Amino acid sequence: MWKYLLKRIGISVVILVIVSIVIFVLIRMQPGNPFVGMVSADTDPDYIEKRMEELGYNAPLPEQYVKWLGRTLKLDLGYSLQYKLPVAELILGRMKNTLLLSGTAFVLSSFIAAAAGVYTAYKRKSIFDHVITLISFVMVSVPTFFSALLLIKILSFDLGLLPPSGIVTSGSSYVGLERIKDTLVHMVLPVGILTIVQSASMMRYIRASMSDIFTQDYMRMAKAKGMKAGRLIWVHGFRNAWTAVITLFAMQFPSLLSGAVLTETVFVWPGIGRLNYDAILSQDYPVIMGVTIFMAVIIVGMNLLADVLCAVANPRISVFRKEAGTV
Amino acid sequence: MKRKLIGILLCAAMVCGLAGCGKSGETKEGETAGESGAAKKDTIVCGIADNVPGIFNPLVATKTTDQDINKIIYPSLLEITDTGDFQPYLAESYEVSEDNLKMTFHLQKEAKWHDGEPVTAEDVAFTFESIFDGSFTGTSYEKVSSITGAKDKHEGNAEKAEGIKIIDEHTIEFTFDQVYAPAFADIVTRGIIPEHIWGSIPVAEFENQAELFKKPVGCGPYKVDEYVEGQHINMTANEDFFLGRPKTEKFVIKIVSPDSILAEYQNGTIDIVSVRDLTSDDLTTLTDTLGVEVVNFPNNVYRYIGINMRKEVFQDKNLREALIYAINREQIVESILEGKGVTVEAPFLPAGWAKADESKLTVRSYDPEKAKALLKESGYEDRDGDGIAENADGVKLSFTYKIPSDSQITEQVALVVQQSFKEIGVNVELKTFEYQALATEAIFNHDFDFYTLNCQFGLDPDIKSWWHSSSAQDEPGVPSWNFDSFKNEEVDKLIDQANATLDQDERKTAYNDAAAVISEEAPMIFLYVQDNAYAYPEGTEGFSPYTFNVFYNVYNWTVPQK
Repeated sequence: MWKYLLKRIGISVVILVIVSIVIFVLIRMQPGNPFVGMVSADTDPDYIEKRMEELGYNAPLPEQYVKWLGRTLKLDLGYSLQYKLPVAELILGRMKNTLLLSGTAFVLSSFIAAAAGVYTAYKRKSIFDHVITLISFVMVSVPTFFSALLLIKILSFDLGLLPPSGIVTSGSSYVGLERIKDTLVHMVLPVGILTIVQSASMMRYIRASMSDIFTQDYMRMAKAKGMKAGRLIWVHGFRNAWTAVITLFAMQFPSLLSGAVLTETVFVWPGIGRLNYDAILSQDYPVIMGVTIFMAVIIVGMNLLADVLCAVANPRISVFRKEAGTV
Repeated sequence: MKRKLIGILLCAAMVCGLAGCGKSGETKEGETAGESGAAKKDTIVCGIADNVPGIFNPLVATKTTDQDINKIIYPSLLEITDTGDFQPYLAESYEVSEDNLKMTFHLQKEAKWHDGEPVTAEDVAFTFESIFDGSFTGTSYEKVSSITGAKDKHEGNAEKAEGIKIIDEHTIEFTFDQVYAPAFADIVTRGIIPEHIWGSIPVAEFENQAELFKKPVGCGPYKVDEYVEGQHINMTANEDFFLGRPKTEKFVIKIVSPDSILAEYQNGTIDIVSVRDLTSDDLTTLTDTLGVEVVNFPNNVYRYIGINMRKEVFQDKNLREALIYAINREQIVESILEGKGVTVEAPFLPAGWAKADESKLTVRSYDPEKAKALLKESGYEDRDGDGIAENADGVKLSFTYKIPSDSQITEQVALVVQQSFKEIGVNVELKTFEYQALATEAIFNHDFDFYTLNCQFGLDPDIKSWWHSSSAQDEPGVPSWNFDSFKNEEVDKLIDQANATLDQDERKTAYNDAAAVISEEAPMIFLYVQDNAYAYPEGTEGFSPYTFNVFYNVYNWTVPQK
């Protein structure tokens, strides 16, 4: 088991290094220059050259990369050109908000997807199955920003029920419970849209893998023995789908983070996605690099976690058998 | 564990209570009677559809949003009004000497910084000395380098610039080596920073003072209570403001999405916001059903198609003129901009005092026949029947047109231009770039046939960096703001002449003559100046935005209670 874990961690590190090289090269190969947007026409053009030189942007790319990697390993992601703040500080500050948004949506959509996926698989070809499948198909196909704008139009503009943007009411000085209430009201729309879209896509995977299981002999056997539906579905059935479900959830979490970019932009939610969006628009290289590598770490980390959890959840996975053999 | 459980229960209770509290965000407290007798809100929320990095020091801020907010926090010596004139602000009066080489400013005596310290001439001197410092990282040194001794200080040969003299606590005198008109606008609109706060920080480190930026000490009408990056800036009235206490207690800048402005108004979560990019339909909804008024005023930007004058084919004036005649610019303004803009014929803003004198301009209105005739005169016609004109040497009129991907309008205009050119036998291939990337191409690489960008003006109408031959560069990689490499001796002379006097009439005459020569030469296809537009609730008082400054009189604004 430990050997397996170490091997997986080693592979993850190699992947991260490769990913970081690709990201670095891609970002730095883009045309443009972060200082062009900062100066006006009556500025001496040499000013741009001077600043680029000072910040080391004219050094050869490999040299820049090695320097960047060295700093990053010390958890120093540099300073944002726009905000003049440490990138790590910016990311952590924004990450809280993204976690609030994506985390809530992740929990909600996991439950909804599991319930709907298992139930539709159990009641295959029923009207309920058809309706849910259709809805999920539509939600997966329609672009997020469109459904988001539609929700704003209906719930916020036409009905005037919910605030269309932000995380708290600007200009308010709420504290304690009032503040929590204010934040919750602002969460409804963005969390709602993320939850709907995420559960729609996760549900389809769960339905597929549960459908497989329901046709297995041992399931028919259990049913024939007169097992109650609840026990049959959740204990005998769902447990066998665990490996698939864990992998799915672990994979969906990072996609929830990246999916939040659009949602955060539309709802002006001050999270990491919007930070990256603004950074790209103003070519704030250190921030783009920082956020992208941060995302890469999360994705690779979730992959690793999924593998480990699967190994724990499913004793048939080879590592355990080997270990069992040696004991 | 217990705490967690309570937390979860609390959240659950909150969610249950949600249904009824959709509008909890509205400010209902604190109604006060306005001047007109109607109740006014105690908070004005102003939306900005862009990010605010929060560099609250007017010397090192680069982003326009930051600069706008800095103008509220840090008053300048003079301010510009809604007619484009200067009026006293932090300086209650000023004199300029006969020879234009000396300016004396008398500061408001009761002005105080937000922390209670008095504002003195020392602070003004400190502000400019910081800009002169060799390690200064901002962009403004060149503009004020005509102050006597600025260069000595910049190069480290002097402790202080000779040309800045503190006469007494509230009087300061600037002396100049030579008259350089654009410096005036820059000096008098430069936000003044407090020496007792910034004096202990090395000038090179100004831009890294994140802590100070968040709690800026200025002497303006509002002081920053809270800056939350990516969300909002809450400001409170400065009771000791030297022009009297601001009329509204709180001023909030809120970051909004341009897509949900209507919903923001519907929810009462916003008062004033730019609506430049809204469609006519949305504007009608705003004004007809939401009780909002919209004010239009010309922006400080003109849009153009640049022509690379370095290329031999474009040396032919007939070709350049034909390209202008081929485009129906009135139609573009009418249909694509929905009438919200004006066409221009020369590189001056129609809203500024230096606006071009129409009687002197060469106006080339839409005339495709004339365009074809001009091409023919230069020997271009379609000889091989492929729809593209060529001359006897086989030079085809086929080019690349680089456009920025910044708005739908740009794209629509580019398609119209492509079609119009096609009708006179000129083929262009469109290539879309990120705005910044295209600007870099134009500034550094000079690699293009045609491109479209904005030309943005500051307060002073100086065009030296765009149109003077000394600003042109032909070598790739060497930056220049004269993107198209326009060189004309007469224009050079007129620009120098305009910059060498502070007399506005004299400058205007010189600029009008320069505009006449440039429009006659047809070195560029000037497109239009699009209107800027702001929305505000009916019954708002004091809000009068202008091309160069929206927030200048924010201390006078009031918004009625709904």
